Amino acid sequence: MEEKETGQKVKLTSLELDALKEMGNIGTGNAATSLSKFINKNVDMNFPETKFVHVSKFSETVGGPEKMVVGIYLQISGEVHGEAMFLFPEKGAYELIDLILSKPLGTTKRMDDMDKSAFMELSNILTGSFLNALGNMLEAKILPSVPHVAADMAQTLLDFILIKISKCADTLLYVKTGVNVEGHKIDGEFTVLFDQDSLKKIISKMHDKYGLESPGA
Amino acid sequence: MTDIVVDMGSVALGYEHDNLISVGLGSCVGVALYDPEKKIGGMAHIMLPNSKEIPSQQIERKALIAEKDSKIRSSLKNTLAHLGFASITETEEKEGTLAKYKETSPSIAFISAFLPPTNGVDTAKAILSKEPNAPIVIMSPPTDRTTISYYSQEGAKEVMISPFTEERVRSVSEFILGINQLKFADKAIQVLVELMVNRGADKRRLVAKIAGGAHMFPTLMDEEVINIGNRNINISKKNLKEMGIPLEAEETGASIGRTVTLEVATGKLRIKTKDGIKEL
Repeated sequence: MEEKETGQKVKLTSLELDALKEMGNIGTGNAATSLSKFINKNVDMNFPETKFVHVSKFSETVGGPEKMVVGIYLQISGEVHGEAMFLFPEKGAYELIDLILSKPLGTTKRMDDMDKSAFMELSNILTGSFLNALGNMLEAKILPSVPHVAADMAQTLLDFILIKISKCADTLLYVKTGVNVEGHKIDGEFTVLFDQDSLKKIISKMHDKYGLESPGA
Repeated sequence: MTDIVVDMGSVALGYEHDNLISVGLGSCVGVALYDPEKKIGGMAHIMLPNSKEIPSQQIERKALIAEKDSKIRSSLKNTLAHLGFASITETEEKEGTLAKYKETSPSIAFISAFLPPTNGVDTAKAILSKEPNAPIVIMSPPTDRTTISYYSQEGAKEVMISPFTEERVRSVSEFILGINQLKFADKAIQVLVELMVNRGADKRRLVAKIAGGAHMFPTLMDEEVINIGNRNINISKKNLKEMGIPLEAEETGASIGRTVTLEVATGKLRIKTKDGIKEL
């Protein structure tokens, strides 16, 4: 029994979940490398915590529904379809802006247009390299849209995604990671979700490529 | 004062000493209803405009009940049968549960917290190790928050506290099956008004205030996303109008997140945003 289906939702085996988690890990690693090149500073990444969370619990995972965050949202097209969201606690986002623009840490307190475009550029790099890693792993063309940036309470940035997927999926692939830039720690969260057909496609590609065996459930 | 948080896609009632709160509205809309004379308030946290637009998929209703107490088992079985579950399998201990789970692949598994030989969490973990997304509901007698969140952390999608009334079993099942009707504006407002009238509110006295329906990423031109907020606002207003409930105030649209609180004692709607607090 490789894939059990209820006719509505894709059910995943532990092994398939592990493979998806591995994708998350590789993607984050790739993003860190690109970030390091971009800001020309030492960047290392803590081993990311990758898991699946239920949609209704997501804002709890990022520090509560009213936590102020900067979110980067983009849509994924190509051979698979889906969407992705990066969330940084406000403080971390502003520190990243300081680092990119070579200002002393703590300078940025609110985003002006210049900061916003710097942050968009950063988002392009992070999301692009994350999705590239995914694409390479799956040997599939994955195209990110331009990133969109907003700063507000975490739950308010997420609810339209929860709404869009409330009809089909109920879990999100969630990666939480700490970035150390020149020894300074910045927290960030990343989530990606694929529509049901794409998830099936990804799983079947993983089976082809890595010969995942059914765990004999 | 008691704070009552209205979860996304649900409704709640409050009385004179209550605050009804919808936390973190982005595209969602919070509809607050209020009977000024009886001091009864209601709030709906709406996600989607219209229940009729979503094609009702054929959803399989197959349950597994793992419970030692035969009385609880048979009563839950009756309730589930009443709610349209076609196939209901019963077990009373761990090994039987694992075997039946594998055999029937249920759309919901209700597992008692005290399932022999050890406990229900142990059984749930054995299922989750093979299928991390398994639709498991832990059934428990009334207990403290720490225990409840422990069940959730161990992978239960929902925790159901006794007594297992039909209302509770229905809402848990709909949540797990993803067919919660209260996320829709039309259904939520209708149900909320019925609940308020049942508790003594007069429909002719009800007034409404609404907030939310924002478009949080202004540069995102995806029409589907832009429309979620707009349509939530429009359909909520249309439904209120159809029910003859006057809209007293609104704070909707734009690109800002809002947490709204209805203070039932006064009927005031407090709106908290990143820029400050405002009252309607």
